[in-house]
Amino acid sequence: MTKYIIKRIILIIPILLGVSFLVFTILSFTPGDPASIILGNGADQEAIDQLNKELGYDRPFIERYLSYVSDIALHLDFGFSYRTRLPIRQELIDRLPVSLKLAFFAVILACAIGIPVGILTAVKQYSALDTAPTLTALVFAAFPTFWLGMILLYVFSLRLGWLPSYGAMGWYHFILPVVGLGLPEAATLMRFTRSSMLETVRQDYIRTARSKGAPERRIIWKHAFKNALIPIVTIIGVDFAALMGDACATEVLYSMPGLCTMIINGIRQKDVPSVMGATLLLTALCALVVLLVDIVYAYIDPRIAAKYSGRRG
Amino acid sequence: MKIINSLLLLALTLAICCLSSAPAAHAASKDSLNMRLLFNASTVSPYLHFNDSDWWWQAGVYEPLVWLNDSNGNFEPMIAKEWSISDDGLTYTFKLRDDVYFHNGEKLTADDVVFSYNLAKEAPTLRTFTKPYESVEAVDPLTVAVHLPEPYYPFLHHSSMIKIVSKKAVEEQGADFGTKVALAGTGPYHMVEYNPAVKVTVKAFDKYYRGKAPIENVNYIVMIDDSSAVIAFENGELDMIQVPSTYWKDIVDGGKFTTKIVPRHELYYMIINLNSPENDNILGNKLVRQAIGYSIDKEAIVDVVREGLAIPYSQFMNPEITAGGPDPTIEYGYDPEKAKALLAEAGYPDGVDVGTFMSFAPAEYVKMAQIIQASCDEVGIRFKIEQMEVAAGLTEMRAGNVSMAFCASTFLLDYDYIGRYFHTSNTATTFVKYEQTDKIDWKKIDGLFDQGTRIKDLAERKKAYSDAEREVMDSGTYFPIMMTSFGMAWNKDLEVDSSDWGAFFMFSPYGWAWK
Repeated sequence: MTKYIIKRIILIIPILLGVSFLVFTILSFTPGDPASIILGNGADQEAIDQLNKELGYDRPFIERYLSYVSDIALHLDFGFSYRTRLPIRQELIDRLPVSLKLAFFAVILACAIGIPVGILTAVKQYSALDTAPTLTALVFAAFPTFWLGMILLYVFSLRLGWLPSYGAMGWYHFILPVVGLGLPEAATLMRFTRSSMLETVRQDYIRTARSKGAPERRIIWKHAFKNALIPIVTIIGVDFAALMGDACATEVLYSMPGLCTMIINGIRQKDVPSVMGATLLLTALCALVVLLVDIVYAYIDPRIAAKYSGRRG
Repeated sequence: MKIINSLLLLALTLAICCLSSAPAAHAASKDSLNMRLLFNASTVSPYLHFNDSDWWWQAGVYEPLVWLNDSNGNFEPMIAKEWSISDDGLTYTFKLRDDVYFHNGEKLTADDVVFSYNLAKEAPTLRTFTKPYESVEAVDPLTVAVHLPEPYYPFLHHSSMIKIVSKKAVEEQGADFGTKVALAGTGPYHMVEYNPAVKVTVKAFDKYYRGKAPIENVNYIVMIDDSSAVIAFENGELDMIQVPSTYWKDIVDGGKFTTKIVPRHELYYMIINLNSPENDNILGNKLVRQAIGYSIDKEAIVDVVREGLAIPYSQFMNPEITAGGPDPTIEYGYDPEKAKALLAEAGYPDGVDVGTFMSFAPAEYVKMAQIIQASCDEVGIRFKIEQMEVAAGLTEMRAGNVSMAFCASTFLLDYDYIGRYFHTSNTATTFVKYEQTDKIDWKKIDGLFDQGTRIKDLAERKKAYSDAEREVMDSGTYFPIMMTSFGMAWNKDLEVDSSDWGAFFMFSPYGWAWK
């Protein structure tokens, strides 16, 4: 198992190199240069050339790329933002907790609602307890995140005045964004749990357990749910990874200084180091989360652990 | 199952730990003021400022020698109490106040001004303003002389853009100046917090030479999204905002806030590239270009795109507040019949396809392009719209590769400011390359702008610029469309002197007070 984990971690390096080359190339070869954008349409050529030189943007593409990658590899130096001249590493350290908290609590919320309701709907299939949550989930799954976010802002911030509308300064600043991000995810997770559970409860071993007179609660939680977990864990892992890089609308709407807004601002301003830094960090985190999901598989299903360790069950 | 329970318990514990460790939220009180920044702040340095946000929050922190009150075009003393220009126009002498202190407690001297002017001269962002002067010297501790290599009479306008910083404070920070809290300004507020992606906080400066500001703290909060900013404003979390045009009517009609329309010098204008090779250089035909000019329904654009927060415009700068700004020369009002007649005269009575209109991707630009497309279509002028991201589009425009496009620029100071958009020496800023054609008397236009900066008498200068603008307007290559305004709204309990508000985003909160 340890060997497998080390192998997977090493595999992240070529992934990061591939992503870095791709993003760096796209940013470098799209028309425009940072100085022209920073200085605006009234700047003269001399000023543009001077600023590009100060930013190191006048060097050939390959030279800039190699220097960028080697600085990260050797010194963990992600360079400086073209606009703020601040070190990207510090900005990543400042912004990462915001994105992590947002994604983490959104997933917790999604799990807290999605899994129990999904199990309930599967167990009570075709009853009102199945139809009502399924319909509600369909509605929430169809909500665009920004729209739900706006509605929450309008109701809980403007009308009721219970919660702040922006920022990430205190725990209560996270409530609306987490709910806005977590509810659609809960809907998706609920539907997924439901179908996974339905598939499992029809298995022969469940029928056998019932015929042996095992209590229903034990059948559901001990036998059915545990076996339905593998696809659910996959979804949770993917959701968590996706939410970190996919919370753009939420971060912008609630003015949260996370990694997504860093990428958006960077793209708008052709701030290559900002975009690169945030993208690489998100890529690494996604790869690590996927690895974590694989490890969790092994704990849930002993057959997988046995496969990794070379034992046969 | 135990493992799952443990994992859930761990997650819950982590959740509680993370949330409880978050810092307490900011609560606004009556000794503080919350304002919105539309973008992240980008720098603490007044020589590197890149966007409107920096202009806003730096307005109360740094000051120039002389302030140009652009609500009326007059100069007002700031750090310099008086100034004079030598007879040959080559030396500007500034007498400094002797009671000006920097935020670090040091007293301002002429050496700081020399240091600031030299520092500004190295900054590419200020090149337009620093280009005219060659050297600066401290005549005595409270007198500074700025030397120009040749007369440049709009120089005082330019000097109003150069802020003064403390030599000691900047040198102490070294290369870090611009990236962290600096006590280098002389303004009524000094910095206390700088988090460019979140908030900039400034505090009233005790030793400010015009007296301490009534409001103790001002928080400039970054809020990129318009809708949430309006909600935060209505909710009382922001005390003042520049209202997005789509919300202006609601805010005004609601009557809950004090509102004011502030004219700014941001002009939206259309560009027609007479060198475009599309359709056998159809845009090389002056009559076709002029026909397009008369097909632009400016009123419709103002109503649809800006919700009234703009006025249709026929000039490049406002002559009432711009030194040397000419009165209207040739005006292209919406006149479909005249456009049709010009098109017929050009040999296209049944209409003509003029190629491609490049629109920047933001919705505002696309809407404008569609309105013009519709009004041109009625006349018989057809074109297709192609969208590009701003960065890419701007690069194509600079290279002269675009047939037709919109652009928005803030034109300010002296009328010479506009010259760089037409003068052929400015290859990066001229979107229509006059020098590549013999259809325009570009040498005459260049000459008139060169001449303008050397004329001391404002009336004569105005005449030279009037001739230059007439040439440009007649060429049918640039069509002013509308001049935009800020819609400002603020808390009714806030007493604000808005009489001197202009386009420079000079919304310094000095003098404002809570009732």
